[in-house]
Amino acid sequence: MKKNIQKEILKKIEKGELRMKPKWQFEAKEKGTKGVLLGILILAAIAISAVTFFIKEYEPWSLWELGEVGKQIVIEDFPYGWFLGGILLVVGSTIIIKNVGENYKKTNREIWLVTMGATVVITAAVWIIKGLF
Amino acid sequence: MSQKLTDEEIVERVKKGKSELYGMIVEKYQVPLLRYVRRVINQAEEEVEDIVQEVFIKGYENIQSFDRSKKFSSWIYRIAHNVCIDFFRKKKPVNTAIEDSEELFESGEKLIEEMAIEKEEKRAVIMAVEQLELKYREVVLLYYFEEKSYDEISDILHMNTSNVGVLLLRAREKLKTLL
Repeated sequence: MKKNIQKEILKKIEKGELRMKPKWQFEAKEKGTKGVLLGILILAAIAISAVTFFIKEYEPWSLWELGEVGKQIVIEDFPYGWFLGGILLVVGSTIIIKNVGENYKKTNREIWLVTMGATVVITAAVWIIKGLF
Repeated sequence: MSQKLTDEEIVERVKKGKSELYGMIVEKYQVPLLRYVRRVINQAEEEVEDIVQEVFIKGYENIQSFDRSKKFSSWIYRIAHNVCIDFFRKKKPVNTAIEDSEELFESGEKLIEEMAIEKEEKRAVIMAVEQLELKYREVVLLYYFEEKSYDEISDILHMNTSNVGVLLLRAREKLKTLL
């Protein structure tokens, strides 16, 4: 070994060239990640609510039975943005959940269950809140 | 007094301002980390030493994020893994010839035994390990050469323990075909 790593590290610490990052930075990062995750899950829940609202209001299966006009209404009015956005948000939250804490120890199936469970709970909360106003 | 302290206790003291104790951590881990990084990146010694120094720098900078309930050795090996990955991303690796040093051939007995290979063939085994893809090589190095448990490997490579088992099984199969 040519380099004296121990000596070089201690010298850097003594000179103040090497400093530890403050604890609050890590705590803020952790809370930030959880906040972003919650935000994404809320948006996913809103997207799911928008799609379910469309299904409830339009009843696409009955429109489909009406023939070409009905099909056109379903195709034109379907909330594609919300649908695709919802899928992307759920996938995004799965990736974030996998990287939070010790979740890497969980299997992909467990991660999916957690994500879907959280999305369902938040969607139910969105419906309850919507029902209050 | 300090000799009785565990790594986690030393780290707690470093976090509280006793920075000079970090030297004990460097002293304890530099040899195993040099051995590990050397086998993972398979580069010139200067490059290996630079990487290990980088590991200790990152370790010190991020020491406040260390959770005492976890094992320090897994935490520092995780940093080494990340620094090696960064190295591969930044620089296209050029393999160097394996030096015939004693240090290179120490450890790994468990692998020799498990694969029922003659001791004289140890060099061939190590050469075969070096030819494995990074994901298999790392898991073999950690399990057989660094003697880490499945749980520790799971913490170092951030994957669940069953994936560790699957990778080890596949790595052994690949090694058999290489030998």
